[in-house]
Amino acid sequence: MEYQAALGLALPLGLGAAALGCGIGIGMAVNGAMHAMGRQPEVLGKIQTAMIIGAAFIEALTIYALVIAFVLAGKIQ
Amino acid sequence: MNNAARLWLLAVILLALACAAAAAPHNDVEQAGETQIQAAGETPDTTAEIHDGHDAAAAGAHEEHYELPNFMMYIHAFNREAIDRWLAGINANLPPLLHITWLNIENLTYCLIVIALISAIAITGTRRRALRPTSRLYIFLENLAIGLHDFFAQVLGSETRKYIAFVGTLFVYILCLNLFGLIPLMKSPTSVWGINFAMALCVFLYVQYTAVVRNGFLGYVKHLVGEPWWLFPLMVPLHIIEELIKPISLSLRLFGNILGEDTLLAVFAGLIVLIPGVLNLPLQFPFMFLAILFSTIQALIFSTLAAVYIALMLPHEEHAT
Repeated sequence: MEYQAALGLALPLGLGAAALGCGIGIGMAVNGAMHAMGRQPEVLGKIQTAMIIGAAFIEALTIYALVIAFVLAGKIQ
Repeated sequence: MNNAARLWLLAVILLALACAAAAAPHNDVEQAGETQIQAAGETPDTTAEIHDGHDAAAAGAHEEHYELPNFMMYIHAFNREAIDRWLAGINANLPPLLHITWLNIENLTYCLIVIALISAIAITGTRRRALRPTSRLYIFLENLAIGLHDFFAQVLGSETRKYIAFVGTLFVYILCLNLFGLIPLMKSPTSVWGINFAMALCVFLYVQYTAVVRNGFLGYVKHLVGEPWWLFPLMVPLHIIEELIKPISLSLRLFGNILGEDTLLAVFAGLIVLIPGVLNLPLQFPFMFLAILFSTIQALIFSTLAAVYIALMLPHEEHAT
């Protein structure tokens, strides 16, 4: 297999796998935050800040995969 | 709160200087290979085919990914020989790591435009300060400053006044840089890693400086050693790596998000040209709302994380790490 073909297969699949995991992670985080917000609307702001920071950390993992995909996508041509 | 705008101005200028210092070498590592190929005599026709039919085709022939056209690209496309000769003349006297490409100049131009805009608004808005302000711009700026103060107070607590100048500036600056890509013929400079890394480096240095100043040097070392002191052979390298990874993850997150969003817009704008006659609709339009949302959230996250890193280093009661 040529390495271009391997890259062309691996990059979308790898990005998809990373997005799958991060999607589950963010879903669980937001689920917890929503429950907490519904239960205690008076600390809504604090929960929201913490949720956004946590979501950023989780989302960063997909972004790493995306950056790798962008770097390696230049080699397919 | 009156001083906030002045402090923003100062910090924006400092950030600009940092960008200028740090952006040039980082972009060059990626671009050096391509410029050498072009200098060796191969015309960039191979990459131009990919962009064929795209509006940016003529201008962005040396780009490796999709990008909406910006006016610096057109300047380069219309004066290609003269600019390349000029850059080659400059680069001849510089060491290879400091070589300047047109992309560096492009990104720094947009950074400087944004900085000029923010500075002009801040200066004109705060020129006439009063207890009962009449100027709408001043009211807007004051509301912005108060809003940012209240937001960052959730993270920084009673220390907000001391650090709002830095993190608030980061928020406004990054938000403007991100949103700049949505204006026609403009580009988000944050879609280049060097600019983001410069800002993340500022955050890193400021956090370390704050830690040393607020805890004292012994307190800083104690922070690095961690709780049970006899675990220090394990904990010291761990903490050092943790500190070093922070700017990298901070900059990569912003870079990846903005690059992805800009590429999405460019790909959907390119679809209009690729399918002629059938879909003469602004296909990228719905994604512009997504882009606005992402720009805001990423600016918020960058500045909030900077505030969190600062807050972690402060001698607090609820010390997290």
